[in-house]
Amino acid sequence: MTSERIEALKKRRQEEMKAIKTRDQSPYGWTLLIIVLGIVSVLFINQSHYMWVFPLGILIGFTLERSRFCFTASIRNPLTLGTTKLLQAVILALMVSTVFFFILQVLTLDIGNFLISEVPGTLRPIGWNTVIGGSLFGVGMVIAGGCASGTLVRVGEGFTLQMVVLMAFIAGALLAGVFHYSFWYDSFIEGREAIYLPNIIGFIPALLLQLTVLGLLYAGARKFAKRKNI
Amino acid sequence: MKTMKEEFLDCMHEACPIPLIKASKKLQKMKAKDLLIMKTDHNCSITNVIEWVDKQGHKMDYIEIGRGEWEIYIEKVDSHE
Repeated sequence: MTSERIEALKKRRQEEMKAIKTRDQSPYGWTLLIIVLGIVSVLFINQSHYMWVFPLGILIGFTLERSRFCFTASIRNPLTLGTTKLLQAVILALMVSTVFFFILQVLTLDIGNFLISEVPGTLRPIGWNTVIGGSLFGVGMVIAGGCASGTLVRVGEGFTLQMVVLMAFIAGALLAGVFHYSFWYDSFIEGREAIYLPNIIGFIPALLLQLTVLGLLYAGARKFAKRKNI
Repeated sequence: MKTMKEEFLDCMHEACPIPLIKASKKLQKMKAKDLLIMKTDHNCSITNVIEWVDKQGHKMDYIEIGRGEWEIYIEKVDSHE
């Protein structure tokens, strides 16, 4: 909520800023747009499925930037600030994607006769690898101020600190995901099956269970924000 | 008339949640009706500051002051009023 004095201050600062000339950056934007359209048309000519993936990625990036969405903040803010708006947004997004993934999976799979590896979306066995990896990633993203998408968005915005983060991110991914993958595979993953809920309790109950759990988390987040004041 | 102070806080090149922590420390030292001007180039910290300041009950607004640089204005409200 704003106030009279803030409005006056805003006006004053805008007047002061008019005196300072800033360089017009729109030529960069147009150049980039033309490059993007060029890449899309090359993909279109080659009939590659990236023709859809590439512009979709750009639109997702655009949405993330404009909405100031941040997965890191959604997890961190409830504990550091007692605010849960972003966490609620993430839970809602998970609910929406639950429904759409459900539709996609039901439409693609031959129900009652499919392999887990055929399920759209990558299913991997859970175990200590999930816990260790999640904790390492969580600590890293809070210190670095961004997860994978957040870091990329801010590098695009020109935020210098996060360019260093991106390099470290790539180095870490190479180290753990490529060079040390066999260690993780041998110690935690080998011999385990991925768990696919619809195989255990059926498709509709799995959908309802997941939506109920997410709904409870959403309600819990709202209550938490009201109670907690930092 | 009571003099009202304007404080300036430079949060340029700092990632979340540093700008907000700085602001909360500064606000504690300020008196009610004082104004705080924060300058940041971190897009996302605006969202955090808005939500947190709203919850604290202070008044605020922000403008994009340069390309990719924002100023956030906060008027401290005394919670006991």
